[in-house]
Amino acid sequence: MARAPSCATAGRALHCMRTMKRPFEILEHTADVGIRAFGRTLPELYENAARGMLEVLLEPASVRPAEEETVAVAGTDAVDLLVVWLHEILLRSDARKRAFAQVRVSEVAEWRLAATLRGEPLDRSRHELHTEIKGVPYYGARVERAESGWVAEVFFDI
Amino acid sequence: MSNDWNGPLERIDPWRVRIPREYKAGMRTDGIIFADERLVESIRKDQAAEQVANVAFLPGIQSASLAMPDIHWGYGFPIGGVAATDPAEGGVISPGGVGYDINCGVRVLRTNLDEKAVAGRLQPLVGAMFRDIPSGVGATGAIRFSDAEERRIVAEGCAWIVRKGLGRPEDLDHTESGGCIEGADPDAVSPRAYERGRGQVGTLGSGNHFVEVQAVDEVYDADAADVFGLSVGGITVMIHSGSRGFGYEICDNYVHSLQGAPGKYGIELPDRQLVCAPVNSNEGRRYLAAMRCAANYAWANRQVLMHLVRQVFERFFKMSPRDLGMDLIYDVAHNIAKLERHKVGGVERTLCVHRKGATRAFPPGHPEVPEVYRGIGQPVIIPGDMGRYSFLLVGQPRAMEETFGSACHGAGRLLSRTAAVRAAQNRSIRKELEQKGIFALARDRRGLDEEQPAAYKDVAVVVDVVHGAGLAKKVCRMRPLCVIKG
Repeated sequence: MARAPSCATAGRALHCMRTMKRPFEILEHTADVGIRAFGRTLPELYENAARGMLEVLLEPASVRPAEEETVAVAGTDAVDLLVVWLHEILLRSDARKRAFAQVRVSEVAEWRLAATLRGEPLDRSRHELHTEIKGVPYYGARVERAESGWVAEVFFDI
Repeated sequence: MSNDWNGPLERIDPWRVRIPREYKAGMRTDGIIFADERLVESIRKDQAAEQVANVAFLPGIQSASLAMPDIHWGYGFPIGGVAATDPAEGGVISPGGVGYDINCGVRVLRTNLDEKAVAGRLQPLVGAMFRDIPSGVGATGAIRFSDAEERRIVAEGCAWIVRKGLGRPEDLDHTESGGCIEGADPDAVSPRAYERGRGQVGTLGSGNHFVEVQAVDEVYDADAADVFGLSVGGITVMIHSGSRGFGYEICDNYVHSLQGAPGKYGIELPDRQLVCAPVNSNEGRRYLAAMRCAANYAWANRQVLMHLVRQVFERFFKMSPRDLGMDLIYDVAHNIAKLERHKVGGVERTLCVHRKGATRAFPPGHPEVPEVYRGIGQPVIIPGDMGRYSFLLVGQPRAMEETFGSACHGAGRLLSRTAAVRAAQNRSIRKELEQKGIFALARDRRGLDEEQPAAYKDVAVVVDVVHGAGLAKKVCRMRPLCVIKG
């Protein structure tokens, strides 16, 4: 069901060891792909969901985290915020031809999210690109409390 | 979520099963899936049948919530879903019933070439196609259009592209709706959608989109094949792509902006992705106007892709367009909603027909079938996987009676993408295809692994159901020779 999680960066590896919890895992879908993300807190949950989506799109290690941009999005509830947030990253990647390597969610309050993305302009000769994501549907999306924090699931139309 | 589905599937005849309306409170009609016993087993493996039942909740739905034999698990609607609603009865339009890739579709060209002419030259040919046809993530078009020109494209579709010299006037007659649906309103589209679609006209995309060179290997209806200019050994080219980021963003925008519409109009839905609004409401009309822009963009995209294919062939074979004879047989949309005239209970009405992974299949004599095909029916193009075959069919009268003039659209996936990648470990899909004489190129190994033949159902089984049920009639089968994937 799940493939090996990414703990690519030192910070993530430390976090993975500390919590013994994977940041996210890949979910199967007949035609597409999804992710299940975990977090002790809501910011960590939304951050790990974004990290999972980035790994569906590309190999983050092939992208230099050279430039930083800020993101502020709002949703009507936890699921709506998840869908809106991931769509925002998708739009910036796709429309503005950006590749992102790192994501940090600093705050989630009243279904408003503040974050920073680090990456660089898309370079098809250097970046290891996996697939295009067409959209982030509500279907199958969920955000729930888990034993030691939160869990979210979301699918991507590929 | 990928658990088996154990709901009721009552057999109606060898080609159809029913999900009775009583299965779930809120269903306004039965669900009907076109499937023989072989297909029912795979249908039960995911939640697609539940989605057929969910679509039956839509206000104004007529006859039944339908699904074609290539049905599989989608979002809101199943892939392979067909639903017609009557605007006069409060019938709704649902962006999820069209999908993210608005007017994803397929076109097929004939040529004067035969297998002998391409023998031994497939590898450099696929290389030339891969070099000159933009594909994969982040690709931009080989032919650039200004922002103002892209607005003309969304309003005028293929006709504008042909006027620019990227095609022939007769291409328009051989494209569903002439390559342009009227009523597209460029102002109904968000700036973000224009931004996401910028520079993508004439790009293939990724996932299951492709350009494939094929050889006709079986003819079932010689008269119809003759009308298409096809015979055994003849070379065809098939193009599969859609509305790129432009359409994806329009779908997304309207799935979000319509979230309040069901509450406003008192519509109860079992799934948020099925959000909808009455066709005759401001929200419904606005989505329809934006969706038509994406439909026109997609037809323009496939027209430019075809122009690039024709150029590759002219250069590669050093032949004139006349000698190559690369005529467009037809172009069909398989993700779209259209207002069409259909008979329900003996009375003709204008219905909003959603085809989510389904192909229009109008029968002989229908006024929307090009005159040259009016005696045989509208061409129905059914791509299979890249290792086996694809089919060309023609629409039949039963489609008008049973499915609002619709048939299947492809093979349907059997394996998830992750399962397909796992199944390809320690193998080279490219080499395996080469051993069968098929040359495939993709941006990365994973693209071919995900799209390997074993990831799909046998399209022949799907086509047999459509043929057996009388929705469309088999004309010929094409075997892949070389293919580029996004």
